[in-house]
Amino acid sequence: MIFLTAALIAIWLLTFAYLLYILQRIHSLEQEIRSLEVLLEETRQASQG
Amino acid sequence: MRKRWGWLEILAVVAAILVALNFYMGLIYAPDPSNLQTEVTRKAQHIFYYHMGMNVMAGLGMFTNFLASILYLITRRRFWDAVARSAAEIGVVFGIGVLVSGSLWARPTWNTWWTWDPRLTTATITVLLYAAYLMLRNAVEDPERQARFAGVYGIFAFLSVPITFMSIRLWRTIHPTVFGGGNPAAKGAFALGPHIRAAMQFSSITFMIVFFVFLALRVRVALLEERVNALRHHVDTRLSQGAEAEPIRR
Repeated sequence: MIFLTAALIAIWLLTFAYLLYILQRIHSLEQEIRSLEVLLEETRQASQG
Repeated sequence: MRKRWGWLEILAVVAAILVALNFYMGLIYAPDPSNLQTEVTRKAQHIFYYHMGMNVMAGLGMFTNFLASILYLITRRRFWDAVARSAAEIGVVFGIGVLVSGSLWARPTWNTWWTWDPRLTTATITVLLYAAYLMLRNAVEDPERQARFAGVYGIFAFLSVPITFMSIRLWRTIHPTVFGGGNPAAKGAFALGPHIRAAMQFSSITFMIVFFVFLALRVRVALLEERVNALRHHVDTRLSQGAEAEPIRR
């Protein structure tokens, strides 16, 4: 039973860790896009004003 | 305003329900194989449903990488390169899952964590080939050249997948052959009764759906990374050329 438990823990730890990594990466990239769009808009306004 | 549910959210919920049901199928519904000698090997056999699930995900990742590599080389669309890159990463992550879960099954069944059996060796080489794919991509700076190089590499790397699949049929090995005939030298083999077969099929479908959820999410990451790179380039251009750059394309 110990090997089965260890395998289940290893498999689902790997799966959920990878899922969390992907979700966290999506979140941080979306934030970075928002910041870059604001920065781009500011440079555009600065060039016009 | 509340965000509407898309196909990915629905697929993710379906995958979560199937994963929960898969615990029941693999641990309770599937019986202990009667031909295995000891209690510990009979219990360890249940690892098979998850080991094979990881195998389905890794194999689909590598096959998707192969298809997307061909499609990229034909169409030169960046989207296919993003799919290829994402699928290769999934292949590596779950390929490691295959090796780890296999090792945990081997300890009670073969009395060793690892042996250089043809199946284990070819599977390890396959995972390493795709890990090298991900590392070598970063060695090429130009994005177009990187994608072209990766496309060609992806096609050749896939050759290792059928070799791994066939290794237990071509060479003398102690790894059980679950599909297509028995292997007299196999240690820890078991008969595919109706319950074991049903649990195995359920597990394969579950992990297939989990794979598509992961692939969709990982492709989204790859496309967002490309968008960030494009925005950075525009910001840099504007800052360096006094805000004369052309409007950004969405």
